[in-house]
Amino acid sequence: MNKATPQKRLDRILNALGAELAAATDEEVLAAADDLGMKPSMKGTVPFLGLKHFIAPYAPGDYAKSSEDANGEPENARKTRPARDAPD
Amino acid sequence: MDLLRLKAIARVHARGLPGDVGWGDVLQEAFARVLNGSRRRPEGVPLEAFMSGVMRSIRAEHWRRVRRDGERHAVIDHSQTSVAAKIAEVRDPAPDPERALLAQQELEAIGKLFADDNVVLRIIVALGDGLSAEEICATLGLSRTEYDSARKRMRRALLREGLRMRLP
Repeated sequence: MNKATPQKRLDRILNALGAELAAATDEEVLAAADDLGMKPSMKGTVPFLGLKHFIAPYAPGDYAKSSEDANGEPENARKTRPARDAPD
Repeated sequence: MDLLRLKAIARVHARGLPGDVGWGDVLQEAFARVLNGSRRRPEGVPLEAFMSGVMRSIRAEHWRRVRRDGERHAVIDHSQTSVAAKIAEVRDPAPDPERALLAQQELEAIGKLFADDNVVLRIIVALGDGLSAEEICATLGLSRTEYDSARKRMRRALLREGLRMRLP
């Protein structure tokens, strides 16, 4: 009779399954994706789904700074269509 | 392709963690540790194997932290008891009931994942017993080819499960 606790058993199994997945070939990954009707090679699809911030954290303040021009005028202000005079 | 594989690995290592810790958190933390240099990949170790090891550490650290927090609270809650009793309580190796329950539920979920493949199911049980590949083959009466073939089916099922479009 094995007296290992459920935690210990789960740890052993997860470590073994993690190692199995690490050893999975590209063909196996593609075959599994194909089973699910996925096309991993298409941009903006499966690979990045669920990742909150890959590489750099989301920092909207940084983007706001970079979009201002040298005079401190927001970039989108320049793109605003000039007010048209009222029709004659 | 690597990222798909890593997502599937993260989903495996996030199994049995409390609901507020998802596979996305495990994967992000693993990336963070590699990017900030706190974990370095030894030369010759494949990326996926290395990242799997990092995620395994993250899971273990999570449970160590939960256990430490629980012990600290136990001491605070029993501040009126003697010092000896407190120390005994802190060192009590009794299993965490929440963790035991989560682990049991995950073991059942893994069992369901392979319910239609009796050979894989028996291999999983043997892995839980801590048997090596050779011991599993001997115990289950499998040839090395049969064992490798079952592992391939196991990987395919795990990848399918890991790639499903569920948010963390």
